[in-house]
Amino acid sequence: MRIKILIVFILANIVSAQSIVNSVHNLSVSGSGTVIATSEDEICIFCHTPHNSSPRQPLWNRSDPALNYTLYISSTAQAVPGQPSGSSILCLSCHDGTIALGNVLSLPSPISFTGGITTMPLGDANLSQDLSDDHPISFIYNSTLAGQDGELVDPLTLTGPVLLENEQLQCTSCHDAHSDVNGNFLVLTNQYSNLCVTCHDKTYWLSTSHRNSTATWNGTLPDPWFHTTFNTVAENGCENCHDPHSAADHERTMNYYDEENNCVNCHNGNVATQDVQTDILKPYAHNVYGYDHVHDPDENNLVNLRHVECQDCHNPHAARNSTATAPNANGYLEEVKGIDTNGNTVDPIQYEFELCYRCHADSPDKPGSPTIRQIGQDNVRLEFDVLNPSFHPIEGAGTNSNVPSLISPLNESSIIYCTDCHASDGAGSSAGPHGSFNPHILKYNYETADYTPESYLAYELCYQCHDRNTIINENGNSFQQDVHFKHIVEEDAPCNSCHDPHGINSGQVTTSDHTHLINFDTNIVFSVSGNLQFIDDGIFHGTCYLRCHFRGHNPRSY
Amino acid sequence: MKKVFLLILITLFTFLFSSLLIGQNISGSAHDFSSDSWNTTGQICIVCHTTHNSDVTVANAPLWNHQSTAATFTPYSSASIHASTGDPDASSKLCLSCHDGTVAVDNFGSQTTGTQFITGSSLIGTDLNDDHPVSFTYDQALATNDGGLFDRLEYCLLL
Repeated sequence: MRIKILIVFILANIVSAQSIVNSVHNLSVSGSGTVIATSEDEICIFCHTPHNSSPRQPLWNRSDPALNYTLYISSTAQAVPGQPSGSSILCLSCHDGTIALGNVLSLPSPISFTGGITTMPLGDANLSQDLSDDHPISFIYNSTLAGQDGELVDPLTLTGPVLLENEQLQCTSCHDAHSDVNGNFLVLTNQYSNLCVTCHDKTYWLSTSHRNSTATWNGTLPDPWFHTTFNTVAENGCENCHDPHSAADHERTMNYYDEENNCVNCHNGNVATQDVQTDILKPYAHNVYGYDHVHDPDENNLVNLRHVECQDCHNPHAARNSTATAPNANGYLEEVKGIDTNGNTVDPIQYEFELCYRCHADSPDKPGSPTIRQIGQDNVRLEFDVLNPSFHPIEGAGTNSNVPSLISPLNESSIIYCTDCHASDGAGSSAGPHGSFNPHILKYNYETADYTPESYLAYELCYQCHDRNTIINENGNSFQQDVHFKHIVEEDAPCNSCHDPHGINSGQVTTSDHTHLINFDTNIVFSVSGNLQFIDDGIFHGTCYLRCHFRGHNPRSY
Repeated sequence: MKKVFLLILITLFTFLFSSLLIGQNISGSAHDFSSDSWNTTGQICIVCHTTHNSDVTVANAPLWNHQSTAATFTPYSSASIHASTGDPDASSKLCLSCHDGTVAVDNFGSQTTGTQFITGSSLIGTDLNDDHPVSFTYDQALATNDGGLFDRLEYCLLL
């Protein structure tokens, strides 16, 4: 009885053999694929011959293709791929599409194929002679390379099924031409990127959402996973963004040529919960659509040539869903490079503002300040310096110990993020400064034009933290009545006309004139008798020399 | 259990008999040298076999009547092979006694000065490195070790 069971098992094993017979590599007339011979019934003959083989191993029956391939190049690869060698040449004798599939050494004339097929038909299996869009092959992968790269496992630990050939990675490292049990003749399933991570040890990969998320696609085109059969972000892993063969963007074998499409085809509400794409398409945005291949992962921390891509702020190998407390960077900004408060490079950033400083501080190609002020400064790193006479508390707590308008839990020692003001607008929008209908990618409305009638909506941004009733209380103390109520409500002057929301750099001032973020908009506030000045006279007291709305204060104190 | 073995035996015999009935025999094949001018006997079998006083240079040679090769061979080798290949022996050595090209086809019987050497695609030569390996032990251990080979039981059933 036991023997019977054994025989049934063995027979079943043979019939359903995970052998070449049932795979598309069976090119004989009995093959199940679309590329099959008209009458040749030998399976092995397309590659192997028992006698007079060339090269001798593995009893090869085909001519070598010409070695004039376009090789893979990448600014971030330390590996140096050469012209294909070893077993890769054998694979390419069919898969580069230059040699007829039926051309075998052991027969005087080519084996004929159905449909008049001679060379490999165009499609996924035809890699062409351009290998720059394929995962590199035929390069030395040794411990030295692993050390140089920093994100590759030491190949000495590879004990199978991924194997090297004479220290070189070849097609056979990932593919077994005789067995299609894992699909695509892979030596190991790439579900959960099992195959990729055999060699690729990306820093922080284990904790990233791109490895762990169980999110699925809602079926709305485009299909973000067009070259896999997997159904979750975690299952797709590397292949969420990378395509190991015939990749649309050759360098780093990306799924799409335009950098942002590798991100937005999931981050459009179809896979990821937040629809970042909609935010980016708003009129004021970090417009990742506006630049193509200016960004390079190997670029300097300090951005010299103006551009923005998702990858400038996010590291897709590390990003994860986790919160933080200001000024610390949250998980979405895990493992990205930046510039610190002193203008030095940091990699990775610790604080969120260090990321913003890549472009908005010392960058020579940074966007200018929208308001012309008496103290002009485009470098936000200098504006937020904690040694300044005043600044919004981005790098550290503010200097003013009397800010009664602050809405709890905010207080005078609070620290806030750049992204508390600059962020996508609207309820339910994506966090962070992706895009907004408000200028300067502000999360809320912030009117800066002179003669703006005061309303909650006009200064919605300010009123998120500074209580409106406290600011403009016409029945309040003399400061509230004479300064804020009078100017903002009665004179329709915007907050921005007197206050510089970032800060005033200490290097540009010699007095205490610029406490309380006072830095006049010189298109609204003019000098009087050549004098434009605010003098801090202590708590809730000051003196102004200025001319505004056709009136002069020369000076006027409160 | 006995029934199972009987089943296997019946299967094997059926295969063998049907093979004989429908198979081509040596007559008329490339191995039929009865009409060649150098074979003055006109016999088919005599080029390889004799009924008496056969050559025993190769152990268990089947009534052998042909000079055996004394060549030194280069065996097949490969980084991925698990079989151990050595010098050809047994029936492979007998085949190579014509097909290695060192022994004349007409060196049979007592003839040692023949002139008919194999040429073309039938010539294997003494370099067996470009040929499928022969003369290696193919047992269950090898099949297990290789992982891509049938073991003997499976092979029998496949017939």
